[in-house]
Amino acid sequence: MNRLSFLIAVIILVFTSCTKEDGAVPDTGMYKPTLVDPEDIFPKEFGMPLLPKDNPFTEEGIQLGRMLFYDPILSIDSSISCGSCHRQEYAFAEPLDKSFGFLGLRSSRSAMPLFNLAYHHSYFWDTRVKTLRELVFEPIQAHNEMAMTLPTLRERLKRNKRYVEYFNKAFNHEPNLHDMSLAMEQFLLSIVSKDSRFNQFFPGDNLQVLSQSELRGAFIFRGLVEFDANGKTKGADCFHCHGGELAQQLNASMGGVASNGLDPEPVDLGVGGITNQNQDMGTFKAPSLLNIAVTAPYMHDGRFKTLEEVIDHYSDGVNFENPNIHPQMAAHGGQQLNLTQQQKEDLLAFLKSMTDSSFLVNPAYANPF
Amino acid sequence: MKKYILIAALAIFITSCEPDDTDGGSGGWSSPSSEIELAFIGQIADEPLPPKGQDIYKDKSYGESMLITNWSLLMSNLALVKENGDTVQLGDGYQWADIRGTRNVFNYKGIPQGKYIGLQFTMGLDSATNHGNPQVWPSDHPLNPNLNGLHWGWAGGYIFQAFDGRYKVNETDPSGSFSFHTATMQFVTRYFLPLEISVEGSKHRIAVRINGDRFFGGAQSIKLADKSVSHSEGTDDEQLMRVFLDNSLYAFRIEEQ
Repeated sequence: MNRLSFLIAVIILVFTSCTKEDGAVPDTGMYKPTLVDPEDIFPKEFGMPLLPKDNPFTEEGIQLGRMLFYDPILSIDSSISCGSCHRQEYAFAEPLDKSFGFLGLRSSRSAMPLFNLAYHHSYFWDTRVKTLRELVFEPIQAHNEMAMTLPTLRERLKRNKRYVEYFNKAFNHEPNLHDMSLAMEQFLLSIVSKDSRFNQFFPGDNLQVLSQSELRGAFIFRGLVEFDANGKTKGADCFHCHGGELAQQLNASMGGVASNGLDPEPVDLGVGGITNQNQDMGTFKAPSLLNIAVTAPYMHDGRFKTLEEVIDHYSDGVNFENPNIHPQMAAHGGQQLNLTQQQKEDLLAFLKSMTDSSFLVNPAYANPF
Repeated sequence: MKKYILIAALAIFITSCEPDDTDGGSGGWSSPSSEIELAFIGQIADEPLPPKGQDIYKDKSYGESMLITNWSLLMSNLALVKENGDTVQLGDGYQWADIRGTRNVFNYKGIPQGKYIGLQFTMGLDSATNHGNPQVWPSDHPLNPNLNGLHWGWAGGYIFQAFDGRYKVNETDPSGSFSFHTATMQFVTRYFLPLEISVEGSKHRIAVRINGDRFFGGAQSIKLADKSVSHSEGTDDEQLMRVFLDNSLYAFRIEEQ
């Protein structure tokens, strides 16, 4: 081999070894992501959540995630998107006890609302998933929801010119499932509800934003259960499981996961179905009460159609014989609260003050198609 | 030129003497230091709590038995005490132990070597911190309310200790529930736990064992069938919490070093 041939061989070797890794696309100049400061997403009043360090917010990533969220091509027959069952006007819940999926099959539980997810430590009613990038694969593949297979989805995204462009813009890659999950994670993390009158009232020194009835309801919500000689209590102790500005207990041990005495014995195993531990049977994640007035029906199985029914349950219908009922609910000798009609109305009024109307129509979270 | 070389060498020497680890909080010049593993271990009747899912009722006082479902402890001023009375703060002095969960072992680096005679901490916070804006704390800080779930919301302030569970009067009876939540400034409680430890070498372990049944069985025993809940508010709750905390002074001890 003469010196010229050797030199050419070396040059070819150097150039071929410098090609992009599999999945990358040639540099088209489209990959110029715009970083989004988390402080522009999350309000100071809520504090900064613990965010995934390997998935920084970008305008392009959030936009891609939003497109994927609303795109029915993620389902096997291109009929259902995530947004079909998580509808913005209902705080990304759905007014059904169980959602309709592929071929009209029903989901096993009601669709949970989606907002302020960045503050959560686990997802789904049974807390079985710890990150949103994992979460997105469950409904996509569930046979009674979107019934998609991952190889099919990958090929479908790769053939779609729009996604070739947007994956390139967001990640400098051709469409792939890993980046799909990261983009959807960015979008889901970015959904924030913070502007209800309850949030303006919180932490309690802005009384004028609430009506007199709502204010009385606030004290019932916050009040501890203490029965007087007539068996009446001024407080209903809602705040242990639904406290704070997020109206949600995020520590599972402190009431973030609980049985609220729906049944004498667990019917749906809930968290126990995942852990197979006795004390978890029939326990579920306690949801946020923000936007609660628009997320009917209530509970994991949608058994209560109205907030009035929910309040009746906590006032008069708790099954204290449930073996896993949360101690904070049952530590008062298993006595029903027996709230008066006025107390129930005030509590209802306060719960309705937790609706963030601007969130329900915020264009940043709306269907982009 | 020699002058500049000398200055540069001096600068390098000085910057190389910065504290090599700030976790321990001792500060100052580099000196021999060690790592401390501090564990808070919940017990009933001198036996470690069984793993979650294997809970069984254990005897307490008054013929009652109990199991603990939730046990959180919020601390400040967490520090080791030297022979001369000086203290070495552990981290920034704040800690949240989820004793029934998985967050109950903490590692502190940069602990100055030497002899220590005690571990001290305050169950609770100073008033300014307790009533300050809880959202100022970073997302992974022990005082972040979205992490610990121990802030009372608009009532202001934190729960310093949450101790919940179930009890039975007789083995065949259905269980009752108990819930003791320590809060408000009047119930801030300081603990000093004596120990004798000579910190040398790379790593030491200090285990704080806490007997949950002793919260109910001290000088004034608490019969859960009579009173099983206190949230530190209201006359009855306050009296019950005072007994609970007086008893708690006998519940802590350091066993392993």
